[in-house]
Amino acid sequence: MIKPCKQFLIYWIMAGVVYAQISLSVNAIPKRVEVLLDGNSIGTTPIRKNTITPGSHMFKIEKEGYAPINYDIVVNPSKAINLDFFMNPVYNIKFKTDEKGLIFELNDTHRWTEKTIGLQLEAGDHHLRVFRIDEVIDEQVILVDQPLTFQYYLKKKPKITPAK
Amino acid sequence: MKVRYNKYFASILTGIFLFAGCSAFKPPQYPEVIYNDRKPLISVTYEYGEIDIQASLVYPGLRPDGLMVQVFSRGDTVQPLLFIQQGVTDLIQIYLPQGVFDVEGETNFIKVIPQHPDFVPVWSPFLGVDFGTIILDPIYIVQKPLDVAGVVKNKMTDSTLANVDVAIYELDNLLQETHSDGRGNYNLTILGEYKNSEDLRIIAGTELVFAPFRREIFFGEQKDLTVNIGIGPSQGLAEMGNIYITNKRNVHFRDEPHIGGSTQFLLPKGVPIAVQYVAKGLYFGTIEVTLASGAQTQINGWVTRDDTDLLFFENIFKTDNENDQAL
Repeated sequence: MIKPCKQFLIYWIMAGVVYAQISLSVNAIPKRVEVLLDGNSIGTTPIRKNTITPGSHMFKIEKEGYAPINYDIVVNPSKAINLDFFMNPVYNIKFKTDEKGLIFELNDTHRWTEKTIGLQLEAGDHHLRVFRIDEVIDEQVILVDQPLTFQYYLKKKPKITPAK
Repeated sequence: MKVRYNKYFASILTGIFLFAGCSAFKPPQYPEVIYNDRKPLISVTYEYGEIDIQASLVYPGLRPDGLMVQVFSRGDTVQPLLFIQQGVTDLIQIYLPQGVFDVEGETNFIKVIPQHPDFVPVWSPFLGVDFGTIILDPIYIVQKPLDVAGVVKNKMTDSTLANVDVAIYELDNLLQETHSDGRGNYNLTILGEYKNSEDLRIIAGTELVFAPFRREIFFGEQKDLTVNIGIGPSQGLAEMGNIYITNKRNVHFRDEPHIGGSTQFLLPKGVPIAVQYVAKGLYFGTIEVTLASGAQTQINGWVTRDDTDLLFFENIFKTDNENDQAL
């Protein structure tokens, strides 16, 4: 006859075995990225032979020079789960213009007025909007895929000459 | 003086350059990293396991013609996860995908249905796993036997009779034999293969002075039969007159005492006759006849006095010198 406390212990151990049996592997590009699972560090990539329970979890991936990743996942009951994260790099961009009196805005949020400024931009498309006083005078999409110097020129309006 | 001033200014610039380096000429830096919320590429790959169920089958007796195996999960006994029809094997091996079973309780079942009318389905509950191998305890495929039970009674007194022999035959083959216990109960068990036999009969009381009890039986869809056995003359017969029993085989039971009467029955040894009156060398009495339906009727007739013995109820069991015991 098993005592109730022992029975509970056995059940608890069995429950632990049952719920922690999904093998977890995490890989990332770039290498050696710290991985936080539900707020706790589980090491740096590549991670092998870790375990995870079925249900909701949150991964947080961070590395200097890359956009952090917060990833919510509902893990299905399975034998193993493999996660591969491809982080977006952040590039140093030098923004220059010769125009005077302009206000620049990126992604509806970030504004500056300097003619030359250093920016750290996540790789990909960014929406640039240019103001003069309160008037939008230009809009364009900047594709960032490497560190570079971005020279901004205000588009000249075509000169309209009356037809003879 | 002008030259001196220029030298002084140049040395300050040189000092700044040496102290701050190239950073002195760096443009201002925007204070935050600017993200575009581009969704990162994330690859999620699941690897699913397999459940392997192994159950050994044990056949203590005969083997059925085949097996039907059904697997149920999470207490569902209607919709099986899997349905297999297979030959008779000593091991059932079933593969199922991961995660189909209840892993917290024994609400999963494997049901083995032997393909033979003499066998009964066997349910085996088990605790599930997410994946991996489940080895079940051996499952016994047992042929369900046929049971006949009842009580042996003295028909006249309605009291139970102990130690009366009861046997079950198929034609003339003795299948099983027993004796009634102290309370008159008996129980006979035969193999299920006789389920559809139409030649089964119960014979009881062969060790008694009365003619043995005989009754044909048929199981059909039933596994258990109740056959109560009445031995000896009934109370109604006993009230009709003194009870005699035939003391030899093939005793003529005639409708008329004189020449020209016909024999209605040839009575076996031990048939009770309630004698109502006596003629020269003859008895007129009544016998009980069991009809095919099981009902009993009474028939009157004549028997030769020398073919009968007066029955004493003190000992209805035959003795070694049985021919002399009843007088």
